[in-house]
Amino acid sequence: MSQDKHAFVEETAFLEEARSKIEVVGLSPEAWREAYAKVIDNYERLLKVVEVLTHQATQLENKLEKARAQLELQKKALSTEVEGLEKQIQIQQKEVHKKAQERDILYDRMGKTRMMLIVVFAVLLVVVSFMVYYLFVDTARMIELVKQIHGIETK
Amino acid sequence: MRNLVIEPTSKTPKVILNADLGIFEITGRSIPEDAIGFYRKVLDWIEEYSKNPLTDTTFKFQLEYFNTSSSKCLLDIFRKLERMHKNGHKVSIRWHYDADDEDMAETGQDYQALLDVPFELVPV
Repeated sequence: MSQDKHAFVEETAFLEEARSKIEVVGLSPEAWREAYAKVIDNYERLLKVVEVLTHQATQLENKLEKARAQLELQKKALSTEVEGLEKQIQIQQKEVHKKAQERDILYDRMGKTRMMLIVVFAVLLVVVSFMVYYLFVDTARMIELVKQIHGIETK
Repeated sequence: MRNLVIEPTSKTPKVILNADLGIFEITGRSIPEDAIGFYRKVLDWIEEYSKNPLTDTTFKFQLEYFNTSSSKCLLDIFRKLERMHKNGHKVSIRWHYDADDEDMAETGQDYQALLDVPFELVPV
């Protein structure tokens, strides 16, 4: 405010000048008329300046109001967007959780399958070992067994 | 006389007062906290310039936004230019404004109506 006061230095100076005129004793009617006309001129000029400044101040207020309204709209739009994003995050989190559960189930099944394969492989290994043993190491026993089986079957 | 060049900031306009080249411009945004302090240098420069001006002085103003204090300072500048004009010097003011900015056009019209100096409105 004090800074703005200095914006009217000329006007203030004129006011002081006009005020000091009143103190002057014995001023002629002509001089009074002249001084008064000057006051009117300056007052008129000041009035026009005030009109212009008031008009501009109103324009600025309107601009600010528009900007404020626009900001409000943008704020609302942003809030809606944030809400949407939060919902999306929740959905994604649920999806991730579901996928994690599915992965755990899959790992569990894979573990069981692996175990079963190991067992099957072990059984096969035992069977093959027996076959290799009787085919190549104890062939006589193999023949005997075959005969025995054949005999049981023939019976 | 020395030229006056003030670089713009986010709150103050660019000022080029170059009597050698005949460039007199105030462009940009004018919302300084101390508009009076800012424009004091400009007003003093014009006051000094008015004592011995060029044959033809065209002052260009192209402001995108300014506060009320700046507006009063602009009026003071215009008054000085008006005085030069009344003293018989060739002076004109060109008020450039964004063609879409109705407010700035109106502001120019306000000044135009207030002053007794050639004042041209230039939409850009």
